[in-house]
Amino acid sequence: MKPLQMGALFLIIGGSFFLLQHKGEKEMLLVMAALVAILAFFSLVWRWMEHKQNPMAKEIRDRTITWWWMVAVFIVALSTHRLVSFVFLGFLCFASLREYYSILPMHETVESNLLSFKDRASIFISYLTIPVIIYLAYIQWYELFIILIPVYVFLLIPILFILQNRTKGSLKSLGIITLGFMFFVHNLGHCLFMINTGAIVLMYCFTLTEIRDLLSFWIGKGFAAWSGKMNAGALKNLLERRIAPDISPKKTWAAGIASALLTATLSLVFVPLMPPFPDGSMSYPYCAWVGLMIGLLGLFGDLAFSMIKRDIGVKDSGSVLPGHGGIIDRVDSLIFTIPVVFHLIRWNYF
Amino acid sequence: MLKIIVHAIGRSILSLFFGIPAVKPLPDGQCIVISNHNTHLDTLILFRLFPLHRVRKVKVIAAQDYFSRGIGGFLGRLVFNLILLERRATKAATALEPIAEALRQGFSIIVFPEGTRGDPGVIQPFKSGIGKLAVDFPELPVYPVFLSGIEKTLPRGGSLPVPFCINLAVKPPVFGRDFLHLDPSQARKHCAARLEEIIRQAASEGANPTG
Repeated sequence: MKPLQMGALFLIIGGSFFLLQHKGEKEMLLVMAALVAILAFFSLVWRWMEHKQNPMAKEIRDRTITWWWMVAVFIVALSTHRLVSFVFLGFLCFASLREYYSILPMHETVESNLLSFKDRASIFISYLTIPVIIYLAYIQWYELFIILIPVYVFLLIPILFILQNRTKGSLKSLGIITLGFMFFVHNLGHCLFMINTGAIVLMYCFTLTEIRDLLSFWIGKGFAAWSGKMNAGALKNLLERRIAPDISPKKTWAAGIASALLTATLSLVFVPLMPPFPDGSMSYPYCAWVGLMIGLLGLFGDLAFSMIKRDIGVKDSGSVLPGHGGIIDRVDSLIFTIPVVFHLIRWNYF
Repeated sequence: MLKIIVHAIGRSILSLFFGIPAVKPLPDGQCIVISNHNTHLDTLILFRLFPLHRVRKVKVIAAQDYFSRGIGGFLGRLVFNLILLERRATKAATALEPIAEALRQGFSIIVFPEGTRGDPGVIQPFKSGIGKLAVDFPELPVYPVFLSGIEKTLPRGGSLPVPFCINLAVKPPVFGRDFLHLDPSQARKHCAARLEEIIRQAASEGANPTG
């Protein structure tokens, strides 16, 4: 990494730490410090791997550097001002929605291809819902926030299609566009309302989801190496049972469940940090249950977007984040975990 | 100075809405940039290939019938140093003279050799004028740039730019000097054909984008 970038990075992270300290948010400071420590550890790992000339060193290096930047931006967004957090997370929704619509091919005729140029109008409307959602979450109008997308926007798009006088390919376009705003504005947009329940809840969900991604990657690798050495038998079969071989040949049930259980255990760390909710504080068993849900749903979120990318025929959804691919490759599990974590916590404690 | 500020603001807004991946600026020195053309945004995106301190030394070739009047023409002349070219020139020999003049003065230029925006996503045959320019200035690098994704944002006839991710691929430069051994009219045609081939090649690779 260049010295200038490194300096900027430390300035950003140090500045946000100072802000958090100033505002007295001890819990956030702790989580952020833990994240920075993990990143520092991985930076050392990659140096060591480079020294050993491990072929994976470059990949780890790119990933870690991108992680540094993502964490830095995230820390700034959550430590400065409430409004900054809303605008940043709203922009995250916008950027992933844009990426989703961009990986789909678009042609004048809709028969053989996915989108038509007439869809630009409804795509524009789905972008427009994002500022509305940001505003509704900011003023904490929960009832409208929760039904705006699945009721009103959901019905508005077919009405727009009718006004455009379309027949051919309308069902396909309707499905694709609806899926886009349901996933990236409604589901991912829950993180906006999550800020109101406390930034630490948001950190809880984000951190555990990303840690689950990491864990499933390494546990999957470990299990594969382990079962490779094993003789044929029941245990080997169990370890190699794959979830959906056509979607992802490497994802096994064993690694998925193991990382889900580990995520549930790790989630307990957050219990003492959680703010008091209206109906009492988070209990250990409930926290483990939510953590297990993160573990399981993260797995399927990951696979859901592998499925979509396979259908379209792309490997990565973009090239914005070096070493990771696109933004969707990073937020895919969050789309599944965020709404469920939000509703589980809200249902029991609000 | 005003121009540089306008460019800086424009760039930030564009990156915010269209998420342009980080591109390396072109190496210092005068050059010709050519690209496929689908929308008015193309020019704005191509300017990103030049660092801010160089934008004053860049000129854009535009159609006279379209840009000589109205708000587009005014903004174009204010910000982009438009060179207006008659699309239906009467004399082929002198039609490109304004561009040659700019090149002699040391300006870099941006040209769309298709000559028109055309249908979204379709690359039209290149005009041979670009070949003539490259051969007349044999030492200038001609960078073929392939823009994709941009045809969805603002296709011809659309009035509302809709955000989509834009990708641009800068290909290795072509030099007019490589065609000098041919006789002039052949050199022109071959050079233009070579550039068109590079862009079409990039387009067929781009049909399955991986990064």
